[in-house]
Amino acid sequence: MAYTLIATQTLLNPTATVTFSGIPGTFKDLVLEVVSQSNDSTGDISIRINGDSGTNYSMTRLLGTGTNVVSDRSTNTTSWFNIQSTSSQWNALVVQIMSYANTNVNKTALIRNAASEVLTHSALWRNSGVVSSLTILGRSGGNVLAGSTFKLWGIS
Amino acid sequence: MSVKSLRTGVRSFSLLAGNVPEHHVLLAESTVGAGGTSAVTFSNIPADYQHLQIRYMVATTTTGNNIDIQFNGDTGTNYSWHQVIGNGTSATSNGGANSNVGYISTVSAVQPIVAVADILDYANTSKFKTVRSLAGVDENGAGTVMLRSSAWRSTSAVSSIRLGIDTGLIKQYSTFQLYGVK
Repeated sequence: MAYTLIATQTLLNPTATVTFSGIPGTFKDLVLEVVSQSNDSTGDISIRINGDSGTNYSMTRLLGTGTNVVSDRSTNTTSWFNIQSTSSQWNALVVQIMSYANTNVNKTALIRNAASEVLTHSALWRNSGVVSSLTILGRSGGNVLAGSTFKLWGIS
Repeated sequence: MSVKSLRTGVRSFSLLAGNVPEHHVLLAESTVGAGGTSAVTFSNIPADYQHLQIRYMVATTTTGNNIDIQFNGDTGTNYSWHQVIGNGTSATSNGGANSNVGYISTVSAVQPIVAVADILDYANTSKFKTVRSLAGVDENGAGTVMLRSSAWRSTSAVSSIRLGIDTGLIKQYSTFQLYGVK
């Protein structure tokens, strides 16, 4: 079976952080599916790997607003962010962390989101370690709202 | 089994045994060895599935070139492609016609590039074949993210796929997987 559901969480209350820990290193890729809202001032959520809060993340973004299409980037950040852009809609987000257990390379992810905008990112975590935990949190200290769902899949 | 945290109210499940019907099947995989390679080929692809999916993580010796795709050994000018691409500064769209390859992604000598490419109805002998791909690399100050489509103007069932680099080598530890989707 190629897709294995590793864990799932559904928030019953607003929550500051959502963590998947103890991720086995036996799959090829990880896929995190999220349907969420945040009451963060930015409406955004962030993702960290293995509890790393250092400036070891960066992203290249392609964004369609319905009026414009733009591309920008973020460097030396403490998480992956600019993942969702509104606090008034449910964001449908898919994060694919490829070769997450390959200790010969840094980790690259593809992130897609759809809400009031359509977003696609390539995202880098400058670390060759195995991804063993993922933490989702409000970007500027806000909460992830009740009803938000998170599913973590492993692809064999 | 589900567990509800009394502190946070979060309900969690652990389903390591999996509960999803097997609709994604790993057909083949390739990990590049020492010395690198210019191409990886998947052959003898069974026609038993509805779609194919290619997933790869690639490190290369060059930047700015492409991982390209050919089907069934066809090297004729029977391919075309389009893309929407962001380079962190601007977003553009372009394409090419009558090419002898389709294109999945760019490549990078700095960080690994990753891609997911779907070939829908690959075994349908009444349709030309279309590849859609999502790919990207970030280099912490450079990089690209792209959506690409490639067309192969043939109604033949896809029985082999060649993924190659147009200049340079695909480095050791790069990985490619081919999945059948029911």
